[in-house]
Amino acid sequence: MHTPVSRKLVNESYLVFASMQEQKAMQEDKTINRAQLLKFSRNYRSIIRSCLLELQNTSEGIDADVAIHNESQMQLYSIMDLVWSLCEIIFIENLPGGVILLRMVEWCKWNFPLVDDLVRSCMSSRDNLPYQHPEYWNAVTALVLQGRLAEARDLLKLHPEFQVQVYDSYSCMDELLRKMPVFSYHQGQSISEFEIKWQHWQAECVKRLKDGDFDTKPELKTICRILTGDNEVLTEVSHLCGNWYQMLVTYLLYNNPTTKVYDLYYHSQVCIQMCNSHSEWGALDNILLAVCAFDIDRVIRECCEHLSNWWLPAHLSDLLNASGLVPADAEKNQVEIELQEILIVRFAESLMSLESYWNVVAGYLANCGPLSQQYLALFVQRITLTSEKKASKVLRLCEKHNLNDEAQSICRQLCRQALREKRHGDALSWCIKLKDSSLAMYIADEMLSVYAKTGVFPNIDLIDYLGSSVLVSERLTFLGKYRDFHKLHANKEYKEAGYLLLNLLISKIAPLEFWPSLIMDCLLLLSKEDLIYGVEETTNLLSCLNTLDQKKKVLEKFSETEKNNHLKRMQHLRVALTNNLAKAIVS
Amino acid sequence: MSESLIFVSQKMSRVRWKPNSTSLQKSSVFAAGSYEDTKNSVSLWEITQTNKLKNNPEIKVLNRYITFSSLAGDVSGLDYADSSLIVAGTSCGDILLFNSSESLVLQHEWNRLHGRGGCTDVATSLPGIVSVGEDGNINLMRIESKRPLRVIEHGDSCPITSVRYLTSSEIVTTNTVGQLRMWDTRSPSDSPTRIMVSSDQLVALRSVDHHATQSHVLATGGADGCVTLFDIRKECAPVNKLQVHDEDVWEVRFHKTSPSHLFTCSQDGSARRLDSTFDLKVMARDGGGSAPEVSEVVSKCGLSINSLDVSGSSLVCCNDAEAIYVIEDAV
Repeated sequence: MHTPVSRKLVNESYLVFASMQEQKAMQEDKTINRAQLLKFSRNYRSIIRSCLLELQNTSEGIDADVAIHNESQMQLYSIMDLVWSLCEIIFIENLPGGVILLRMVEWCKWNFPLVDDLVRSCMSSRDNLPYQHPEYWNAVTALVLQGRLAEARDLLKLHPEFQVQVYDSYSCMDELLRKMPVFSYHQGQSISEFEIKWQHWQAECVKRLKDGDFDTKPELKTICRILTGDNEVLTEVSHLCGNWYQMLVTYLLYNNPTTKVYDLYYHSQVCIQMCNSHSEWGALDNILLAVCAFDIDRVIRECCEHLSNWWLPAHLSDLLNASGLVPADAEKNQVEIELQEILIVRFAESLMSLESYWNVVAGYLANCGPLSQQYLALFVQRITLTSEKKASKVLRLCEKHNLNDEAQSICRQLCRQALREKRHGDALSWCIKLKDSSLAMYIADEMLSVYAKTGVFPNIDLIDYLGSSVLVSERLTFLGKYRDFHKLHANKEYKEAGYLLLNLLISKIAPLEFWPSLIMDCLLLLSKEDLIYGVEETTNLLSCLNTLDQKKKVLEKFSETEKNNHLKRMQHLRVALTNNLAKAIVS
Repeated sequence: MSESLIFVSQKMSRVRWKPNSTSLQKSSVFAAGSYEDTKNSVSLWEITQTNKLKNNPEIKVLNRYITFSSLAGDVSGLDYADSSLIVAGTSCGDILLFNSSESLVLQHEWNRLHGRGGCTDVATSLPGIVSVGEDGNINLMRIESKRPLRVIEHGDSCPITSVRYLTSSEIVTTNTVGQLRMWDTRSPSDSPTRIMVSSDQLVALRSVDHHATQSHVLATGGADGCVTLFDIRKECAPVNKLQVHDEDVWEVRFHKTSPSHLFTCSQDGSARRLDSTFDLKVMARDGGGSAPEVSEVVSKCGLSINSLDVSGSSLVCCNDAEAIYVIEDAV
């Protein structure tokens, strides 16, 4: 599934699959009407065909291994095309009796070009005398076998013994071929009318054969015997008949042209009997027989067993289930749904080995069946996140399908990774998305400790623009406000700075370890000329100072010199505050 | 509008039209860079018309004619410096300079300029090249220099998502927390000259482009599907915010010669066109009245459209279903 051509198959068919799911979602009973279904089926078939054509066109200039692989792929694709086209005729088009045969004749014509090859080789003979070509009579016979009588007549006319005026075996044959009735459903002919006409015609053929009209020319006699529905003649020309399914068309044309879909199985058994001698029974035969038997289950099962990839069973069963052909019986329906889910999951699994397919795999898993959410969740955990862009895409996918737990775990994973690599800004942005306050607290603490060590705030460009996201965690809010305080101080807006500092202390969002630094900042403000703190504020500050004194824990981390410094500073601050209080009371 | 679609068996992350020497010439060559493939490549594509079929007047055939595939990592940034030089940035942090006059020849390589996550975008304004990455670094180079002229390390605390040249010495970048920053490459300081925010919520900005004639008008595409217009002459820069898409807007492009059109492509699988005079004074005053007209150029195609470019009346875009769309008469 990884060659360039199969990638086209996978991607293009995924788009068809996705639009089918959309259509299904619009209907309540999850079925699609016939016309639409036919369109989708034709879409799929055209994709298979174009891949096949492309493989055929790229057969030059490649090395042996690739050539072998291409060969097997071409075989696979032609089987898929054959099976799908027959399924389309039998299951989806829903044709009335009589019309089926017309479609099958067309199907035969398009898929088995042996006859066209014969005709072409006749016509291309150098001396321009087609009738002398050894394959001439084979070509005419094969055209009659496939029901292409107009072409047979044209080829026959090229024979020099054919003279329009003279009534001999050639013109007799020409007349018979011309008169064969073709069921014209669209002109409103009824089945019984057609049957009568056809029986008349075949009786005429029998009569002429018995009268000995063709005794002079054995090849024409053979053709007439075919027209009369003589089955023994088919064994004589078996080298032209092809497989049993091609012979089925011949058999039906000259024995039972008004056949209904349900009778195909019986007729195909007859043909298989007739064909038994030559070819071996293969996978394709099994599948086509199941199609003729109108047994969808069997078709899918045979496809799964014999084809080397899951593409055909997964998409075909999806299409057929959407047609409503599956019985409405609840229990059987459940089995069908589960089977389809398994097919799609198996197909998606086969794609997982190529990393590039992850979008497509996710799309399939999201639409496989009742357990799609679980499968998708499991898959999402396995996607490797190589870049921020890919991570965003995966998160978007989770959001679309309500995989909140997975989304959270992805954000957490990315946040931790960023922390390990010391990219605090990136980590902070992930944990804000996550709305995880404990991680945010941890990151804010790290940033504060950087400040404490170096006196410079890290990641200012992020902190200043956090906006309302600072509310994710208290510590983060403190960080933001503390940074604001520094900004105000730098702008010489001391009064506002002072109030902010006071608020930070009173509201107790500042961590205890930071109070000494805050106290120091206070000291700076108090030494300014103007009175910043009034009576109430100063009293508050004094009470904060008292609280700090009582909390011995703060001093534990300090060394001896630091402890002494701290106590001295507290002393200074107490003095400064008292002076301030005095000033404030007086003014 | 006629649409041609081709599946190319590789997911492309960037497509860029080759600049034409005259504006009258129709664009027929574009470059594309792939990503998330086992072997990524930069390739050149040509559009040829065939008049062979009687019924269909013109069939367009997209033909991949040159590929350069000895790349490590994904292609995450691609730009044509002029009609024969292509700059590509990879997720391994390498910046590659190709000469595309005859075939794709690697002219120079700057290795490992970015750390984890690699490069996210490149921009060119001859002779300068700038690259930005997930590590928040900005690298300034010149075509002929062997090493970057200047590296602004940790210019941004968060991954930078895109970059554009405003003038030959000013660049503008966007990052994942919704900041649009302007930098002066001649200034010795490593800080941006200006930081603008598109909203109070930290919504990532994915792309930026400037108006072709009004150089103070910038448009950014955000992760919430909004296109925000900025007027950098103003103190409060964001002027107008339009909800154009449902999901991340991966790329915004102003049309170079008909500047009243702005094209956007998004994760929701559609590409749209906004028509407006982009006269920001009028827009700021009226508010809702002079809202741009939005028309759909590519309707929801199932998977994300990663990149688009427009030249003349042709638009090319690429999506995650490994397909490239070429739309004629998109303008």
